[in-house]
Amino acid sequence: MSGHIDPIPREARPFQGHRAGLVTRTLAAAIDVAIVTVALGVCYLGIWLFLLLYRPRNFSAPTLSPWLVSIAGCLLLTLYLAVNWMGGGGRTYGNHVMGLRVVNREGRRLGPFLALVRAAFCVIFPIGLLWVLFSGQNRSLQDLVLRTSVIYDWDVRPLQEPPKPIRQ
Amino acid sequence: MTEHHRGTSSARTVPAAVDAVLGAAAMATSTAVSLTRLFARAAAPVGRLIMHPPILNERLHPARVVEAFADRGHVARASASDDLNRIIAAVVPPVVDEVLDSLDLTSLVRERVDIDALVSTVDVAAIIDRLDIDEIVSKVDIDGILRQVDVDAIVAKVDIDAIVRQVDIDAIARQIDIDAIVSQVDIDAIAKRIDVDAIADRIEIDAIVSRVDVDAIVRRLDLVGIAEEVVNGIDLPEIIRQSTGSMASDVVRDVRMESIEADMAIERLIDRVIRRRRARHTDAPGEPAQPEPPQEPQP
Repeated sequence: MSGHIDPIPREARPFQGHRAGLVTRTLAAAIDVAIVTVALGVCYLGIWLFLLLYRPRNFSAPTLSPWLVSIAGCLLLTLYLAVNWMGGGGRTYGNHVMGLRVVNREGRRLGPFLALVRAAFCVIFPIGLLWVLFSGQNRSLQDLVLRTSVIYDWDVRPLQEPPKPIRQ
Repeated sequence: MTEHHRGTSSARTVPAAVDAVLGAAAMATSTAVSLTRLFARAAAPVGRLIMHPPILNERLHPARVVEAFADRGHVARASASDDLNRIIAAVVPPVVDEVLDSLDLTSLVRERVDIDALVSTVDVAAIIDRLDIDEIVSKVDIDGILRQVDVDAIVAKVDIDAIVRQVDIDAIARQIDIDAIVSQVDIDAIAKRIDVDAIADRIEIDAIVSRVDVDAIVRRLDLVGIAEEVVNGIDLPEIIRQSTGSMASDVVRDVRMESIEADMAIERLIDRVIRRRRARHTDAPGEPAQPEPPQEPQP
């Protein structure tokens, strides 16, 4: 008796709980980057409309520095990743589409600090994902350093809370 | 006891004077007999001399005359005895019959005879030993006796209930070896002879079902567990996906499965290139145990 009804398709059940490979994680990351890019574009469009409404006679399209856009994009992506990883689902939208979940070494969702550090690490050094190919445990460089895992998990139910630190 | 009764009866019926006379007579007679014997002993030599005088020829002795008289008297006595026997044979039976008829022998025996003492002296065991039972039984016509027996009348008089009440059914049941009896029963042969269809026709299913407490049965069932097992067995999520016809979910599932297959293909390729000997350990800690994903054997 399983104790609950398993909503996962039968052919996908053997992979649940195992660390994901490079293709799935790359696709998920690409979706997340696309979302952040769209979000940046929406922000730019918002600014553009604001300036149009605020100074309609002297309106000129705002020009943004590539460095500024890059920094803003990185910050937004970091914030987006961290918030989603420490949220109830432990997954970004890209993770959700690809059936992935980010967990700590105990199999629980990340705490705020760990989620923020991992998000920054991923944004600053995305090439660390390629270590999945050579790791015997399908871990990226970020996973090795921070002892996290990205697993196949098609279950939509939220993960358990991260353990609270014991205060002396 | 008989002597005592006689003495008691005589004391009541004969006066004491008669007894005194009889006593005196008996004493006189005894005295006379003694005197006679004494006289005879003293006179015996004289008598022998008279009967056998030495001066006479033996043929002329008086003893011869006496012997001749004795022979004649013996013959006469024998003749008289025969006559007396004939007279007794003729007279005594009717007299005895008359006497017996006048007597109540049954009451006489009951009063005068100690039957218990008499029976106690009888050796019954010795009598039985002398009997040849087999010979007696062989002479009995048992078939004839049985033909005369009215069995129905006997059975009608038997109180079956009283007999049954005295039977210790429990003691009998304890002595019965049920296992031995059952082991000799051919259950298969009995089962083959049972007409199950006829039995089933006689059963009133509706009456039985109406007495069944369905609610109690349902309460004892693990309906949740059964439902989960059934749902997992029929792959309900797949049925829901097919019935809803969600193109998006189908696309997502296909993309996920294909990406997983691509992951595995690339992992196999890389493992072959870097000549990894051991299989990847992808099971994440803390997660529920899941079966290992299919891996190709490493070269």
